[in-house]
Amino acid sequence: MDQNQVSVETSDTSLRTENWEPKIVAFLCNWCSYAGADLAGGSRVKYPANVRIIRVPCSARIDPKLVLKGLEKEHVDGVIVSGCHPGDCHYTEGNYYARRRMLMFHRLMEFIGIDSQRIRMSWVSASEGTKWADVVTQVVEDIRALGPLHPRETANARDH
Amino acid sequence: MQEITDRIREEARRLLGEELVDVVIGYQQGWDETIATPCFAVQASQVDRLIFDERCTYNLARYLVGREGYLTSRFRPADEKPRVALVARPAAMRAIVGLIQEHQFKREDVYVLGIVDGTPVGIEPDVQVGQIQEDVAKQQEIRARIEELEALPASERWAWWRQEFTKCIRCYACRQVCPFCYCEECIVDENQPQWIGSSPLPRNNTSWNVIRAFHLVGRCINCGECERVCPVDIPLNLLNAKMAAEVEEVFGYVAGMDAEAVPALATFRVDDTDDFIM
Repeated sequence: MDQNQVSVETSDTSLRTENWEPKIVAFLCNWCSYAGADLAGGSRVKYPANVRIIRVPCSARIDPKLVLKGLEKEHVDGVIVSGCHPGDCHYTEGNYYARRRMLMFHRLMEFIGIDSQRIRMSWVSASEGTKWADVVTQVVEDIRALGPLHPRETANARDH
Repeated sequence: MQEITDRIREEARRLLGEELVDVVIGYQQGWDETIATPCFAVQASQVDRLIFDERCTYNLARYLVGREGYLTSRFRPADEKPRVALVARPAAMRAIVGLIQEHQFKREDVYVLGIVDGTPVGIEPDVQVGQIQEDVAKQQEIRARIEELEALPASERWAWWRQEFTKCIRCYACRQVCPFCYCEECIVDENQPQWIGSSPLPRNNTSWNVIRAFHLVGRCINCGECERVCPVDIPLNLLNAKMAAEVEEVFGYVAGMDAEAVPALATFRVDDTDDFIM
């Protein structure tokens, strides 16, 4: 495969598959965001089904290698990391560390040319079911506008 | 330069003669006239091998840490750690500061034969053996290249980096030469689970270089060794210099300047910026 032709922010719509749907991996902290997403489900709030949720103990658990591993996958177009609001962390200060780390990871990825809209971070508390729905809706919209992260692989694997 | 060489030899002779240290790490003549290699003088009779000139650019702090490092070797009992004197250029002194911050060793564990260039280095050398010119042009060139890249649209930047990373042959020379890559087991060598694929495919190479750059955020002291040793000339220092600039801008922190400070990503402030968060 000619690697030079692989481009992320492609404006070449011919590379996009017709039935392409963005696929997003979300890392949610056990104590706030996962409960928030659970509440969204429990209260039957509608939001796009493009997100695959992985529950982690704390947003500080998210090493950028996990995000990168997600983005490496052929059909993943974006990642959300979500945790408790500042001051609400179950482990008191985990989300503050996560915030610094993710900010720097953002800047690094932006520098190598990955749009920062593909790596999002949000604060969603256990009572914010609707906010979680809004976050997902927004991220899916943004990524739909950007197109697939791996246009060629996506084009080659229409059936998946 | 000759007086620096003389001064280093004089100090090394004194330190080894009086048995104040077990080894003096410096530079010596390499296998041909274009190359200087590291030198490990353990007896006064070897002192005349030591030299210093414009070829002596390597960051010798690398030899202090890691599995085989003089100060952290796990092959020696703690009470038999050698006493080390190190010929340290400014970058090496900043690396020593960073390594002290990361609790790899204590300031008194290493005798610093410092060569200064007027830039702040965070520690006082035990002996200042010489003064060199700061390489201002090189720093400017790095900044110019970063700005050039930032001016490109994201897709072109990605295409450019992808091309660079595709060249990587995964020799890990960048890791071996880096004073801050002292992990007992590197993330790239972990295989259960395997976070970074080990075959030199573009995707794996991107992951490797991004993760390595990320692990150096707030730690890299910009010695440029990774870029110098890269056999396929990937401009690795651009990533590191760019992230050092970001860390300074966002957190007001510069690596290797204060042995008492906590590294940027090992701490936080309650009022850190929130504006990228949804």
